[in-house]
Amino acid sequence: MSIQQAAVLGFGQTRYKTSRIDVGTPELVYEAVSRALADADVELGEIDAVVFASAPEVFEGVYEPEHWCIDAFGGVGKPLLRVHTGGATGGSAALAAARLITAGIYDTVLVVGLQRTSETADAQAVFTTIFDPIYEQHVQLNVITGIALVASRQMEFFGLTEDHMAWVSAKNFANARRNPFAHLQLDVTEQDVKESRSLAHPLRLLHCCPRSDGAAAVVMTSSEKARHRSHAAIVKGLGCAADVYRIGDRIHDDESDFAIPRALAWAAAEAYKDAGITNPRSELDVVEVYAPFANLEIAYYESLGLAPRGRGIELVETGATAMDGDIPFVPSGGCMASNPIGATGLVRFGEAALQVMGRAGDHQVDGARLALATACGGIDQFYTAAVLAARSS
Amino acid sequence: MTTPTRIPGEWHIPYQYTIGTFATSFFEALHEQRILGCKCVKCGRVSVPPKSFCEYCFVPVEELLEVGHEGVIEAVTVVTAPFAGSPPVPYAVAYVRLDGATSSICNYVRGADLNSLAELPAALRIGSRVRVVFGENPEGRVTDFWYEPIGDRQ
Repeated sequence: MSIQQAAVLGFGQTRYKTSRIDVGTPELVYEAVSRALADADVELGEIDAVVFASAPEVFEGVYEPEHWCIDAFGGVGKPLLRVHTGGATGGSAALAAARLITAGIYDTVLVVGLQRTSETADAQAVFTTIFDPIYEQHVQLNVITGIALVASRQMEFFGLTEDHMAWVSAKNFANARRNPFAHLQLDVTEQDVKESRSLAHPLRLLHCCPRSDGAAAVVMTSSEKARHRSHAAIVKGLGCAADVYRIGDRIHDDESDFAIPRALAWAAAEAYKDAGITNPRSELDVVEVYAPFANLEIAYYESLGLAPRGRGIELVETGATAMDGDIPFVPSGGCMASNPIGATGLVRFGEAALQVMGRAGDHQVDGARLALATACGGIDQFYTAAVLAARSS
Repeated sequence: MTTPTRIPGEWHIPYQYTIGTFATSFFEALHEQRILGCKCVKCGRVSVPPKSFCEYCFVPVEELLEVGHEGVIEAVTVVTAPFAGSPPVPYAVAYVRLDGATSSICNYVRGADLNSLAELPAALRIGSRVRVVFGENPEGRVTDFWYEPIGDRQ
């Protein structure tokens, strides 16, 4: 690991909504980027390179949206990379930017995330196109059915019940009400979750994220350049990993059971090692996990090494991941309340940075010094993990 | 106050997906009511559907072989909310490890009672055995077959 570290100087995000009909797509990007630059107190001229994150263009209906939006993020004349790892895209883009900085290639990098899911009427029809056209598309799988398949195994082998999922949903929706940018601002009880419409057994409407329009941007620089800044978050650890493509090849033994995603465990192990974390449960103060479905958050408790194998549900039963628990998960409400897919991983990263900078407002976890942000793409196939730390820790 | 408007658009792009000889053999075998997998000579894994390399050993795989017409449910859901292109709801989808295979393959499950879904019917629980049923008019698609419950649970 190099001595030089990357540091987050600022984060900007749009209000997330089903449809941001008030702005065109480049205007949506401009909103996030201008806020990030202002938050970082950085001029566009100080940006050395841009990493752009957007997931399936089938949502926007415009191929290569990074070219359409280039003026809106000040990319003209600058090195521009686009990153695409499905839903994990925003996390991968943050990771790429941090690596460009720690490698000494650029000093200051702008990361931009975009998704407009409202431009087409049926998101799940879009998601069908992410499946293998030879063996899987004809069975009409989509993200909801794919994650319902994960839940079926959690229920069979790891004690997951509707009660556990309802608790996670109610917790996350309650957290979202502290976050003025969150898309869904709902007063939801566990009973409401259990009575919500069934989509694909055992998933109900209130176990699932909405689809959101939105953009986010992060300004990162070297820890050296961030030294004299009034606020900065240090990127202490990074990891990413992908699993095999076919779901049917991922179900075979204890090491790969499809219920507890091993690729997130690989990504987290790398990030923890990078950050010198040996006991994540006691060392991490807050986690901004990319879990668009309630059951996934519980699976990730185990992937992230916060609960022993098969005992993720205990973090629900003890309330450990509530706002007042010992390891709060998604104080922002997370992607169950807002999911602008290609931007979502970057939102988790930015929210984790806000937490360790003590700037998360009404959803601030008191005294947070060490935060984890994750991102997830494909049907539980791509993962990223990033550890962010307050400056002096 | 201006009311923002929208301009309609559409992507309509037909594709012909190239599937290769292994997948072609798989679909031809479905016409003969056989299901093919492939076996890695190095690790012995039997992958269904077949592919011409083993991702564990990273070696070519040449041997196609037939697997059983019964298997065990590994992951399952019953879809209750329709989306564009979906069959009429409710319908069941499962990954099934066919006898003789080490991986599982996804398809529809028909013939289970899906009327009351407070919980999954026992016939659709993980670990339940199902059999392969072939349609009468194969089209060279994976949906030329589906699963039906056998009834006895492992």
